[in-house]
Amino acid sequence: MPDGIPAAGAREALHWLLQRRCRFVVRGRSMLPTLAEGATVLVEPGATPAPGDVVVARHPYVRGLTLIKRVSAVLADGRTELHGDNPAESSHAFGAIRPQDVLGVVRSSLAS
Amino acid sequence: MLETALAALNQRLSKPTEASAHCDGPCGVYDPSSARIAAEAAASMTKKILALQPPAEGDAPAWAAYLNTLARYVAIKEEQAHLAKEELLVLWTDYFKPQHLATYPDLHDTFWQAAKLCSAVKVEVSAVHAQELMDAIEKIHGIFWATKGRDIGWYTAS
Repeated sequence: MPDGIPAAGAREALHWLLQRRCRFVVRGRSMLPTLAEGATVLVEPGATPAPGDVVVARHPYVRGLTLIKRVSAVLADGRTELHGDNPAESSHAFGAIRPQDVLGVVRSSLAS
Repeated sequence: MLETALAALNQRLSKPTEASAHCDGPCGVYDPSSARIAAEAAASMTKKILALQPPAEGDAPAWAAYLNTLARYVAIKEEQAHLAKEELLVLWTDYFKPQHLATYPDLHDTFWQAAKLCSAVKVEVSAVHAQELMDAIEKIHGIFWATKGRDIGWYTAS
């Protein structure tokens, strides 16, 4: 069972207030059961991802497409391999993501 | 309490940036057929170049036509052989994953040799190498569909 995303508490609220968090809304079902479609998450920009983290990243080929995925591995050169949480959704490899394409790490979610 | 306040604030703010949890690829569609079609075209051009008969000496219009046809065959052969290589490299680097290597330990060598054959077909006029490239892609076709658990027979357009 993958790690869940905690609901934002006082600490996250403070980070958000100090503009150390960006909001993203989830589209699609590949992160179920962790994140449902329409969920809003708070992301720490520029944070270094670790295996198990959920990250927001630029798609390596599709310009303008932002992905939300879980880090399955961090390679020796700093690139990350990503996957969805939902086993029912097909997931094709697009190869490892370069560090500069990882926009940030998901730290919490906001109730809607 | 805080949670509700944050949720209310989130609702009042402008819509956040979207992050897609859709399937990863632009499509995720891979098929060795694209490499096979390009390799077949290059093989066909190789055969046509080898079969071309030069016209009689002094027949200028016939020579112009001959050289024009030859140049077109060569250009298409170069282009299609290069395309076959690109298609193979995409398949090799994007589709195949480390776990496939366990089942097919010669996977890297198979792709490497196939890519080298693409170069040979591009540079040379070799029916032998063109056929070897087709054989290599047939082998890749077999491996690819086996990893998908599907039995797709090999076929060619020509």
